[in-house]
Parts: sequence; C-alpha cells; structure tokens
Amino acid sequence: MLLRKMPWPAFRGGVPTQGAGAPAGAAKASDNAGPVKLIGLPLTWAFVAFNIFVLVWMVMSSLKTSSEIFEVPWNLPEVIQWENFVIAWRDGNFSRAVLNTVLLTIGTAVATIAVAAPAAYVLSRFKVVSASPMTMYFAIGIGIPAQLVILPLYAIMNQFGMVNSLWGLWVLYVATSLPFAVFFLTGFFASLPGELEEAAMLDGASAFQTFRIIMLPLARSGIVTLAILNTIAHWNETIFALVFLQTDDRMTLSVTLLNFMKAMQYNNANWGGLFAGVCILVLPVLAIYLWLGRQIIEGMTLGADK
Amino acid sequence: MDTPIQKEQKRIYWWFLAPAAILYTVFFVVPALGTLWISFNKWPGAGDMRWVGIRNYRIMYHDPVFWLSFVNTLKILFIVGGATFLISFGLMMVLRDMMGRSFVRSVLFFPNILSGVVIAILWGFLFQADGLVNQFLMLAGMDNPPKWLNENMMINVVMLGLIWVSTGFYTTILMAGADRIPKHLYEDCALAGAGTFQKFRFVTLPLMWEVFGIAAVLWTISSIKIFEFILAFAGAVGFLPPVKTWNLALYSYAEAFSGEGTPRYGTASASAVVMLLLVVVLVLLLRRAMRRETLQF
Amino acid sequence: MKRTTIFGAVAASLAAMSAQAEGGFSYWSMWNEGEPQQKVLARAIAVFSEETGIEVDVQWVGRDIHKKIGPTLNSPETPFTLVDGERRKIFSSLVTTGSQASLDAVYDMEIPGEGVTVDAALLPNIKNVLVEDDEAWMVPYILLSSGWWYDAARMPELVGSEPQTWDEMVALFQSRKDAGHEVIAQDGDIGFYNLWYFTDIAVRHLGPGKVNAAIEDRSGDALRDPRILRTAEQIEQLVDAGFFAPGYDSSKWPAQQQLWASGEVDFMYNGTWLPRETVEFTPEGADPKAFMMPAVSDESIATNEVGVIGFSISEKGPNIDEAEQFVAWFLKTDYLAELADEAKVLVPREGIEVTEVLQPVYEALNSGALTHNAYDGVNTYNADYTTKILTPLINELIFGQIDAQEFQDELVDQTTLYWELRD
Repeated sequence: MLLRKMPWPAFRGGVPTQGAGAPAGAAKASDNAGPVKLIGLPLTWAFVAFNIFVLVWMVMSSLKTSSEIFEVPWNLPEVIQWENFVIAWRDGNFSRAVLNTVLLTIGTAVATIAVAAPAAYVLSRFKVVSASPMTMYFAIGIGIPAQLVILPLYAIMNQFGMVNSLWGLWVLYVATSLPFAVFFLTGFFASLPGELEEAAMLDGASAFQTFRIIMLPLARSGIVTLAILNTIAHWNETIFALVFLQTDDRMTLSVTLLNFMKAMQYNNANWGGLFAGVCILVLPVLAIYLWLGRQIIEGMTLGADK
Repeated sequence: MDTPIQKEQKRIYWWFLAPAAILYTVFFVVPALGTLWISFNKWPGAGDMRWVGIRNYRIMYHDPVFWLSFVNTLKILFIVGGATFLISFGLMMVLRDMMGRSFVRSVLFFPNILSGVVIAILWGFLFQADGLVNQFLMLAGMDNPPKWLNENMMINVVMLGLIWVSTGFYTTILMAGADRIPKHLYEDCALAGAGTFQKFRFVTLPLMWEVFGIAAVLWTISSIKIFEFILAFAGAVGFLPPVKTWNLALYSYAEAFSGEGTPRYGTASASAVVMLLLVVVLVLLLRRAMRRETLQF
Repeated sequence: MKRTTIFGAVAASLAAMSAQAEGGFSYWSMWNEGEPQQKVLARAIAVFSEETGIEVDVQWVGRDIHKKIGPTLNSPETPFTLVDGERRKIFSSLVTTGSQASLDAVYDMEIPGEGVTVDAALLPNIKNVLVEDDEAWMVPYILLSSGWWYDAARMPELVGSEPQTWDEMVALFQSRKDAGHEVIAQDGDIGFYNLWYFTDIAVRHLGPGKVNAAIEDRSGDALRDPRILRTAEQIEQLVDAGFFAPGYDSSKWPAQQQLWASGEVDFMYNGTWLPRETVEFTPEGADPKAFMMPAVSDESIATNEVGVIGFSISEKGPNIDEAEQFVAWFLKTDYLAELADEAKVLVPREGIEVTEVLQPVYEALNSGALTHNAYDGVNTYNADYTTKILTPLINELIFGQIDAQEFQDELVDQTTLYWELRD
C-alpha cells in the first residue's frame, strides 16, 4: 500500500487549475464523523470566533478615542476617528519605512530558501557520515537567543562595514534564519518518496537537476509554509533592526512602530493612534497571509495530491 | 564500496551545504562562541574585560531569581508545550476535511502577527480585577474571582496567552505535514474497511511522525528562548516584568539589555550558555525518543 | 528597484561619513519626529547651524536609544558625539563603560547672548546628581519629579492647605475614605511605582543618597535601622487602612491611573508626566495639581526628587567641542521656555513660565531644598539588586502579603546573601 506510486504532480504548470475551491476531502467528511468531529468542530469555531473578535476589537480600537478604548473597551466607536490613521501615518513616519521593510522581508525569505533548501536536501537524503551531526549543528542555532550574540556580532559586522546598511541586515537576517529553515526543511525532504529521485539519477539527471525538478516541487508545502513564517518573523523583527540600523532613512517598520508607540504613550497618550499604528503594521500581513493561505497552499497541495 | 549514486552524492554534498554552513557559522556560531567567552568575564559591554572564571555561574547558582526563571522555563516547555500540541493536533484532525479550512487556518494563525503590546492591552481588559473574565465569573456566582494579573498568578495568564499564540503556529506546521499525505491512502484504507481510528493509527500517525518530531524539537528549542511575549505582556512598556514571571531568556535580557543599571554581560552570557546546554540535552533526548525509521510514501 | 535603493543607501552613508570627517557632529536623540520636544530641538538645531556654520547630523532614535548606544562603544570611534536621554539610561550605557566625556567645561561656558554661565543659570542642587568621579557627565534640559496628584476641581479645599506631615496626610485620606471615596490609585504591576513609596519615604528619614548607601552596606546592618522599619510600617499603614483602590494588586497599567484621571479615585503618587499621560481621560474642567511627599516624621529631612533628561557627549565622538557649543546654546531661556510651553515639561532654569499644572513642583525644586536622585539612585547604581530583591519585597509588602517586620528581616537576609557573592 505504501509503495504505491504517487501520481505525478503537475508541478510545472504553476498553480493548478483546481484553484482554491472546496478542499479535496470535503466530500468525504460524512464518513469521518467520529467523536473528534462532534466535539472538535464547535471548539474549533469557538477558537476562530475568539480570534475574529480580537481582530475586530483591534480595528475598532483604532477608530476610537483613547478614553473610549479604556472606558468602554467592547463597544463600537461612537464617532469613527479616521484621523487616528492620519496621525499614525504622519507622526509615525511609516512611509519611508514601508519600502525598506517590504524589500528586506521578501529578499530575506527568497534568499533563505535559496540557501537553506539545498542544504536541507543533502542533509536529509544523502547517506553521508557528517549529515546527522551537521543537522544538529544547524538545529542548535535555533536555541541561541538573538539578543545574546549582539555584541560579538556588532564587532564582526563593523569589521565588514555592514553596520547601518540594509544589505548588512539582509545578510544577517538570512544567516540567522538558517538554523530554523534548514531544520524545518530537512523533515520535509526526509519523508519524500525515494524512488523518483533514484529513477531520475539513473536516467542521467545531475544531482542539481534532480533537486530542482523533482525534489523541490515535492517539498512545496513546506517551502511555502517556511516562506510565510519567515516573512512574518522579519516583518516584526525589532532587535537586530534597532541595533544595526542607525539612521532614520534606513529604519524598518517594526522599529518605527515601536518608537511611535512609546512616543504615543509619553506625549498625550494617544491610544487610538497607537492602535492605528498597529493596524498599519498588522493588516497588510494578514491580507497577504489570507491570500497566500487560500491561493497558494491550497492550490499546491491539491496539485500534489491529485 | 560506493555506488555511482553515492559517489555523485558525495561530490555535490558540500557544494549544496557550504553556503548555508558558512553564513550560519560566520554570523551566528562565531558570535555565539564570543558569548561563551564573555560568560567567564565581568564586562559592562565596552572597555576592559576582567576574567572571573566560573564566578558568573556561581552567582547564578545562588540567585533565587535564576532558579525561579529556570522553573518557569520548564513550566513553559512542558505545560504550554503539552497543551499546544494537544490542541494543534486536535485542530489538525478536525481541519483535515472541513469546509473553509484555509480560512480557519489563517484565522488561527492570526495571533502570531499581532504585536505583543496589543495582546497585552487586550489581556489586561480580559483579566484585570473587573475585566471581562471576572465579570463572567461573578455572574456565575463566584464572589472572589482570582486576581489573574497579580504577580503571583501572572505566569499562568502568560502561559495561557502563549498557548493561544503557539497553537496557530503549530497547527500550520502540522497541517503542512498532513497535507502531503496522499488522499488515496485514506481511500485505500476505507476500501479495506478501516474505521476512523485505524486510518489514524495506520496512515496519519506513521506518515506524520517526522513532522511531529520536527515540531517537538522546534517547540523545545524555541520555547526556551521565548521572551518578547513575556516582556510585552507582563511588563508595562519600557519596564521589566515582575521577577516571578521571568524565564531564562528574560533573565539574560534583564542582566544586560534592559537598560537597567550597569550591563552585566558576564551573567547574561552565562545564562545564555545554560539555555543552550538545556537545548542540546533536551534535543538529544527527544531525537533518541523519536528515533525510528522514516517512512516514505 | 532594490538595487538602486540600497546602493543609494550605501552612497548616502558614505556621504554622511565624509561630512563628519570635515566638521559638524552627529547627535542621537531619544525623541521621535513629531513629538513636541523634538520640534523644539529641531528648530534650535536649524538656527544653531545657520549662525555658527556647524552642521548637526541628527537622528531621532526614540526611547530605545540606550540599546543602540551599547554596541557602538567598542569601536574606536562612536557614530555619534552628542546624545540625550534619561539620566539612568545614559548612565547605564555610557558612564558605566567609561565612555562619557567630562562636561565640566560646558558648565563653565557662557550661554550665548545671556551673560551667564551654564552652571549659574541652572537650578540649585541639580548638578550634584550628574557628577561621577568629580566630573559632570550630563547637562539637563528637562526635569522630572514626583508627588501626590489630585484634582483641585474636585477638592478645592486642598489648594493652599496641603498636608505637611505624614499624620495630616493619613487623616486626609481617612476623611476621604469615610466620605465614601476611593483614595489611592496604584498601578501595582509597575514595580517602580511600588518602589517609590519605599525610597521616597525612606529618603526623608535618612537623607539624600543614604537609602542607596544603606542597601550597599554588605553586612546588612544599615538596613536594620529602625527608620527602615518605620518606612515599612508607614507603607503597611496605607495598605491596612484600605486606602489603595480595589484592583490595585491585579490590574494592568494604565487602568489605575485612568481611574484617577477620570475622577473615580482621589490621589495618585506619580511623576510629573502623569497629567500629560492621562490628558485624554481627564474630564473637562479638571484641574490636576500635586503636593510633594510631606514630612514623614519629626526629624524628617526636606528633599525633592529630581529626575533628569539631558545631554551627554561620547568621549570617542568626533568634534566634541562643537557638540559642547550646542549644549550651551540650547540652554537659552527662549528654547527652554518653548519646551516648557509646547511639551508641558519642567525645565532646569529659574524664571521660566511652566505649565500651571507643574507650578507647585517647580516651586518646590526652586526652593533651595535638598535634592535626591530618582529612587535615591538605587535603580541606577544597584539596578540588579533593586530588580531582584528590593522591588519583589516591596511588592509583597504593598500587596499585603508580608508585614513590616517580615519585610525588614527578609530584606536584611537577602541583602547579605546578595553581597556575599559579589566583590
């Protein structure tokens, strides 16, 4: 049963035509209606409802006055305060930070996958003695707290002239993403079917071709998940950006928001503006995530299954 | 005797591995070794370092706050970890063939992109003395509802918040694994007359073993260095939270990076080294426990 | 797109470096663009550059400035010369690493066009909290202090007859409580707000600098002083009388200060920033005022807390003399008046019109009484100890989990153990 060959996925055609319709197994839901479902479904929806409630609360708070936020936290705004967003955008100086952040996060995600995927592939599938210890070597890096390496790191970055440069931060982001990325992808590569790879190699495909044409597409769901996690992590990253970027024209959004929030609390405590600032940071990511979640993950996994 | 394939593999192994290994080593491992060195010194972050041997470790050994932080780290690791996995696993099972699954998954992930400050404000409204939770409890007849945000209780509320946030993350990972299980295996099972439990036992579990392992290792490692959440959540902006909510990562942060007094990079680094040792030990144990043959399909 | 942006960035940073080498200096500031303090500083910089020809490359870094300063101090040259921030934060990053330049020369400089030196222009008893090893390392431009805040519109009878002694104050609180009011708002989740009661009462028993000295006594004997016990008993008295508003031990900042602002609670012991932080919650017609902590005993020492936001200079920054000129420049009456007016803060010179809310505090600082560091310096000089030992014990005392005697016993025990391990 387990050896039955997997149908060939339509990996060359990009997003398959099935698109984001009903999930593959939905039609079969009825034959699976065990106790898990009976209890699980309502709980799942309760969880979802709570999260949506939080989202709505956050957006509502960004449209309220400060005293409304604290005195009637669960009510709708009496008068919608659009100017909170105007204040946040103007005083927060977000506009110049947005471009930096978009370039940096996308650049980091792409480069991380480009570097980590080949490494994860050879570590998980090649029978080389050093593979297992090397995997551990990468994994341990996940446990190194970023703030603890800052001082030695600053000395190294300064040596290479990489302080206060977006390039420098980009390299640093990629380097510090690697432990998680490599470790995460090894698991995905490890459980891919082996016979395809062997067949390709025996047919004379080079190792690189085998990797790019066969293995990479099969690990797509892992890679897309990794890309999303990576993007979100760096969209919100503050410690490295705070320390390694020094001039305002190179700041990222998260640091700008952090400063803005502290300033909002210090002068006049404009909590509505604070929430508006948070919305400016959070809503684009949420939109991208919803879009990616629907279009990419669903489409790709469907493509791989059918 | 190597087969041709193995020869080919050995040839390209280092080419594929080198870029990652070099970047990681130069920008992460070397600074980490620097941190190890600093842990044997007394150093305020600039100027002269003074070699003090293992004194920083001795200070920590006798510091009750260090042990408090150590216990909290383990609490987060086991209690939050256990709860997160149970819930994520349950969600994965439910979501596998549910209408609107990608929407649900996105919504569950949502807390991960929220800033800690916002979560802190929300949790304040929910859990403070006259917050929503206590209003419910009092309606339900409880006269003296718990003081959730008192420093003695706070770590529990922090853990609840962590479960809420991490569940979305680990559900995403588990589902990425579950999505790769071909549907036809379940169909084959169904044809052979297998029930829900048997499908789970003979298809889902073995095929997802690897992803479970990854998720478990990932949690072990990342839970030990959680700190921004606690900082934003339990402390007001710009202040350290009460020591009763600290974990090791926060202990490190407080020693050198909070801007409170002379930075003590020695003890901060020493505590990071302890964290790293903890990670190594736990991951080795976990890999031993999870070891079995990887199934391919 | 990406390429040009980042190359542009690199080119700009090279340009910035070469500009530094020729003249002018870099200034890292704790303010963000758009804040009133920033606007005043930016205007002053523009005029300064125009009149002196000295270029100032200013970065509005924001509140986390100390985190950014730290790592740069190991390079042969720091990327900034002038820096500003809270006294405690600049101390922990710049001064503890010996990276500060002596500002004695600045104190002797004349403020341009005013015929008076910096030292003579500043309020008395301020410079003494800004000196390390006999050399000044900071020049203040904003002062902070703390006191008992109340709404004079709700309690007009208090204006002019503020309590002068501890007993008068407790009697006042009791009368308010008897009349059915909630008395003291306290955001108990902020350790420093709890710590205030201890340091601000104890410093009036012992004298400026003596609280910090007491915790530094390695034998623990100084903490056995009956006046320390008395301090704890006075805090206990506030707790036992039930003056703290419900929820003070289980709420999240800013819940309690907002109760105070909206008039639901009468008093709050807090900093001079409180009216500004709560302005959005304050009802129309409210008139926030403060009185200082009264005499705590018959032998009470009159002293006022002085927190400082000011300028410091990095010893390793280029063109220090030009940065010094700017510091003296900014202390002109005009700029400080603008600061007091637009940012509603206290400034360190006499005869400037400060916002009415802060007038009583300003007068107290002007009175020539002694001054002490914020928290008597315990969180500057012994921050580790304060975080791990003093604050947790104060929290337990304020939350009513231990009594005054237990507090003192524990404090002595833990303090001796703490110092045993340190050299």
